[in-house]
Amino acid sequence: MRTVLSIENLKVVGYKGGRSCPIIEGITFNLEPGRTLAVVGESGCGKSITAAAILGLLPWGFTVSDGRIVLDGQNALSLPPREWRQLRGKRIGAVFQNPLAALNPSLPIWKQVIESAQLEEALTRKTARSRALQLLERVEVPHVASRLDDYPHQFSGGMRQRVAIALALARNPALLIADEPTTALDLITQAQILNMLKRLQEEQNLAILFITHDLSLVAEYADEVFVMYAGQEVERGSVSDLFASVAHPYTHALLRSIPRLTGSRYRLIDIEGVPPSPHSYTRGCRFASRCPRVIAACSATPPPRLGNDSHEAFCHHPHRVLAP
Amino acid sequence: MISSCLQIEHLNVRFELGTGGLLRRGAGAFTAVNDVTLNIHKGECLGLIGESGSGKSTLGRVVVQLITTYTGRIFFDNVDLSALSSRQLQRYRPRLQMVFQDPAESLNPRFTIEDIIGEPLRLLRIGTLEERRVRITSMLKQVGLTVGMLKDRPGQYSGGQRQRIAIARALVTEPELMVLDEPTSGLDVSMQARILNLLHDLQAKLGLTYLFITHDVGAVSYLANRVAVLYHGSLVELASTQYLINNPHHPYTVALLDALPRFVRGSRKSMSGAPFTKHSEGMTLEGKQHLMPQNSAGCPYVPHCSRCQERCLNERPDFRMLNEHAGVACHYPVDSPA
Repeated sequence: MRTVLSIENLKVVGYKGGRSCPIIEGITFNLEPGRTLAVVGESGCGKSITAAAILGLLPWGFTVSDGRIVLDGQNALSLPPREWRQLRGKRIGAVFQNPLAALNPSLPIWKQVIESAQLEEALTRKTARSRALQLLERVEVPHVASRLDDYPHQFSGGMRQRVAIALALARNPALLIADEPTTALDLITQAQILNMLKRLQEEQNLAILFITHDLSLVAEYADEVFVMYAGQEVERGSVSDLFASVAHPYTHALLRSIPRLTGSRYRLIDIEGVPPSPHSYTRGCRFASRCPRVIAACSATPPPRLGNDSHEAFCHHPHRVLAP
Repeated sequence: MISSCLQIEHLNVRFELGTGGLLRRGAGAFTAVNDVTLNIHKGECLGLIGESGSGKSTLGRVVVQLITTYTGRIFFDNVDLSALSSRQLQRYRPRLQMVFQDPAESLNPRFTIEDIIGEPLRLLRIGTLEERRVRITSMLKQVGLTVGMLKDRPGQYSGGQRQRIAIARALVTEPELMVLDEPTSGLDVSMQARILNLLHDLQAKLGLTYLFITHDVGAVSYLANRVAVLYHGSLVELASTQYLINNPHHPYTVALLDALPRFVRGSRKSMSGAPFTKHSEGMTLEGKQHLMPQNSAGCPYVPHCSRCQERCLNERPDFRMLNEHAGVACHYPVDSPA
């Protein structure tokens, strides 16, 4: 199947005080139309940096040092910046955690929603308004017609996120990057927004790159999972394969740290410590210092790749043996 | 016989809209908490759940007397707190403490960690300098931090560690009741698990009573013995945790449980039989909020309810006990097989 986005051996480095240090080290994944790939990990694992690299929004001092970002068959890093920017603007939409930061507080929402479409073609005020109305109806903003002239502060958190999604989808992109889109929202709103995204995905054959730390959402809304730790892939697979047989202790710990509605009393797994800082990356497995299943080999050599293309993990001492 | 730690009777909190100025007076009022009667038992963890804006934080703030402009009565240790002057309240403040949602905002970035944890002792004039220092260090250890941090500032630490500092500050006055206002919602899942485990251990060790405010039903099921469900300021359901999960009676509670990802819900079946969004013919919760005026006579849940009938529009249901486990404010509660 044709891929929308493929990331090949992507490396990002950060520079500070004349010294460089690796932030993302050689990650690879593909995303097909109509599918959702979830990138999962704790804060500081490099998931947002990965998204930023794709969007060309890397913070100052960070650069892509190696690898390919291929969108619609074109390698971003070999295109002139201007062409890459135009391709990106047309084919990728992005939604972030805080919709208030994504919206302009001094413009009525209909103008914001239609702003990016106006880059392509000049619209009359009347068509622009009706196009904005359609876009906002698609994201299920209630009573849209009477709210077109409202400002972002007049909307609730969930509604703002819907407006931000309408804005991201205004140019019918092939790929939507959703970086923790529901972390700030309550449970029911979260379910509503994610169900709506799922519907939009089916209608438009949209590929979604879903960045989150919550594996319970991944099980419900994603097709594939990519688990990151300290700038590297630790486990990857289809949702059905991976959840059926979690191999890496890190993925296992992330799953067991989620409180569930079971009848009996149990204890949540908490992973001691925090992810290592990029300055202290070692040759061996980077999870070794926090891993409950650590063995001697872990800190000495890089973990081997286990499993196959539909489910792989990098580990010396996995929970389950994966068939090659 | 279960003894109670805190009793809330007919609590109402109204916020006047449009502050200041003669002309703006009478702009109306917003009812944040509407006639809530609730009993927190000694040594239990009472979960308080509801969506954003349901009044759960307001209720928590009233309990620790950060909001004093309420009507109704609050009994703590057989004393009616609502009748006390602010000077008299001072005696009770060490025994009622609160942990806030965002430790980045609730900790003063210019204070050292020692100052932060010691501040309640200083303000409430508890102990000598030396005694305070002993208490501060023992609190740090209780919450799993090290003494070496005392002279650092909160900005040097991660969200999870800051939340531990906030918990230490609340614990330092040796409270009986702690109000936890979404203590884990800004954190990563692994950090959430650590804080939930810590809270659970502290409760067992120190015999604390918790009022645990959250919108995370999973976290509530982990920590709480009983759960109170708040909707638009009204108490709609109150039940023991396991009973509530298996037999929700209020349609709103059913919707809350159905909104959980399957992974969290476990074997529990979705009761509405459809994803939550389709629950009431395509209208979203937020969308229907416009449909009911806030002070109308009927049940506040009518705009979203799939079970509502004529009676619900005109008559607000009173809270009543259905059986020994659960009470509900609904004319036509969902009867799930026990």
